[in-house]
Amino acid sequence: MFKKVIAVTIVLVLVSASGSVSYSHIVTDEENPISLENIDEINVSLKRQLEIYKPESGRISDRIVLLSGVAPQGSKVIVEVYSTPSIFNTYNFSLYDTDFWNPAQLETEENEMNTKEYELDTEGYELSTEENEMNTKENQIKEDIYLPPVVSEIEVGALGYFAKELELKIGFNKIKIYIEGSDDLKIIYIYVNDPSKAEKFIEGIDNMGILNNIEKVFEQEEIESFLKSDKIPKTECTKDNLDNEDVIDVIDDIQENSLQNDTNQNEEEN
Amino acid sequence: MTKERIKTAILISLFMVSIFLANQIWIELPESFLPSFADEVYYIDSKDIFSNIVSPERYLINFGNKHTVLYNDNEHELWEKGRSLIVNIFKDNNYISQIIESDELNKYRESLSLDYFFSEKLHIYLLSKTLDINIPSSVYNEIEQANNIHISLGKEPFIVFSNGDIHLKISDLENANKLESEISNIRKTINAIRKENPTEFFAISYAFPEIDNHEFIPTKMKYSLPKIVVKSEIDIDNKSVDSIARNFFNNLEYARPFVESNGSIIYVYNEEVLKIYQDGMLEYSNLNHEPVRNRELYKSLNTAINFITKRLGWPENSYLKSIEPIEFEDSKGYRFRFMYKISQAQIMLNDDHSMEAPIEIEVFNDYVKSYKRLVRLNLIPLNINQANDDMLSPTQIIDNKINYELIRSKYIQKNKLNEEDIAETQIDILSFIDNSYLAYYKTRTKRISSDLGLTLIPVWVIEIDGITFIFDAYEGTNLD
Repeated sequence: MFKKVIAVTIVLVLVSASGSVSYSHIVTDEENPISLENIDEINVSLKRQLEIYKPESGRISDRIVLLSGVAPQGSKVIVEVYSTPSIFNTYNFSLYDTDFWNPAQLETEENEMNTKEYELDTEGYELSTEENEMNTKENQIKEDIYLPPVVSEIEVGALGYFAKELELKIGFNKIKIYIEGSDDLKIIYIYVNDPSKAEKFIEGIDNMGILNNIEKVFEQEEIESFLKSDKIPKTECTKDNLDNEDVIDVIDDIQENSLQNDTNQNEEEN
Repeated sequence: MTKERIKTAILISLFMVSIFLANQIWIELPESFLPSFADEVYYIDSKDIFSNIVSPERYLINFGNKHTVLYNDNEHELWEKGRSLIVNIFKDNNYISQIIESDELNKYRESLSLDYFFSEKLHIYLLSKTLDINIPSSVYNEIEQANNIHISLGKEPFIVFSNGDIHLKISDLENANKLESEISNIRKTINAIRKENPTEFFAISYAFPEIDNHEFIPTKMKYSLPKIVVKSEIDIDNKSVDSIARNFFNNLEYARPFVESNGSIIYVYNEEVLKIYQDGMLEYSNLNHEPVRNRELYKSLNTAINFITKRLGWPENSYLKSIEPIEFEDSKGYRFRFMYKISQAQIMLNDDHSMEAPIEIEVFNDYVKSYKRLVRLNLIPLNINQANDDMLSPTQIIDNKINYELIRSKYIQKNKLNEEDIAETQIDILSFIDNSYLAYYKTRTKRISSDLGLTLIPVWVIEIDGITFIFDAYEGTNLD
């Protein structure tokens, strides 16, 4: 009898000892199903006005910005970029040349320019004062006018949202955005810093990230006061006013000065 | 008396021996019960392979407020460089950890930094193994799984483990100087990538602030993938099938192949079966096992990776795609799926074998139950510049009216919404984009039946609200 009890106990112990608890490491997510109650959050009005989210008016260090916004399905959004010729001293520059400058080229050509300028400075004071006078005159002229705009079109599809890269020029840019055939006009002002002049750029790779950051977003009051000041050009070079005599004078002056710059540099080289 | 005892003893021992020998012939006892007569299973120094396979699916590079995404780390070795930085951060246990909010992490991505995104949320223990670091239990308590590691490349080094909901920032400010060389190394790589003029990606929430979706999508593609011709790695007509079988069976003497009517070759040995199909697919199964009550993730994954390494190995750019807990009879284990890429595109299997990924393996801790594999490799070395037209981006594809309507109707169907309620309104599809990636797809039309191989075309796979859509990368047409 006793042996039976022991035997049964041993069997029971063995059976219970073999049991174990298992668990899994991975916990699966359960997504919240969308119910009819939050339809209003999902639904968005079909008829949208033109609205631009990016870029915001301000000062940045990178010429290429993201242009994003909403517009009615199937509409055509026209983007006009007006810019001022703030660095025409550096390049053989044509007013009708609307290609963008290659940043890499910018580095090498700027470096070349810097060495030439150095030569200029040491070799003749008279020449440099003349140059300085010319530069001031140019400065006055170049601030007075916007170049003919670079125009691009965006065809808004079924999404109603659009996003594309927009190229600006170094210096001051005025961006006009409107739907074709509509009066609704959005204007954005962006100043692009010349990277070669930025001290940060010289510090090298480590600060590369900072170069691309938006340095300053203009507040509404700043934009308004800026618009009233003398700092930004008043005249736009458009297809319509290219015949305008004042505009032609300005364009001729700029072209003449840029050519003269080249001849001076050529003389110095020789 | 003693004679009787001796006789009894001899009788018993003979009886035991006969049982033992009978077992040897008829039954295979579990290895733990008997001393193993089979070859010792050896593991290759698999740490490197493990780290290469358990690696990110995509790399988000933040140049500041510009971004790009790379789907392939072949050229720049970002994974290796990032790993060595992370090892150094965790080396002397001198770091601070804190939970941060989503907004803060999104802000960090607007500075120079790098993000690794894994295909699935990985348990922190697995991440510690692939990164080769010791993660203390305090971290496990804060965040159990992560599918994203953010690495800051600014003056003050820190990393963030994230799973989309919880974000744990780990900073090591004291060691900033020592880590500077590692970080500088990565910065140089990032600079080199930037100079290549990569495709710009933007966060949906950055471009459209009213939409709360932080996924990154491209504006306009700056590269195009060509059609490719691929061939299965296994050629069934060749004698090589025998050498493949040798990887699975120690002695082919007992596992003779026989050929099925449809051309597949089958090897059978006890409970192990190896089948190689006409189209080059390999299927191995082993039904011999002892029950596994506790599934162990790292052990199973390690077993899986070692097993595959020794049996046909890894195609270039392979990585762990998904982990699925499974049960078979009374055992618990995992199904691991591995994906590989050709250039920036994943290789999709829209085949008859109902495999979701090119390499699938079912593992129960130390034991491999099933191993399926269909790997097709490029016949001609790939040059991205071979492609003619520009590839579309996902936004351009969704923008198309036909595609938009298709997505909308599938969304309505899935969420069982009332068509009349939303007839007049637009659904913000952009807020439901979960994921988008490039893949190579076997085209159903125009099958090239030449001996050369199979033609694959590049497609965009876009996951919207859990529904997967496949679009031709050039035409933008839906392929399903």
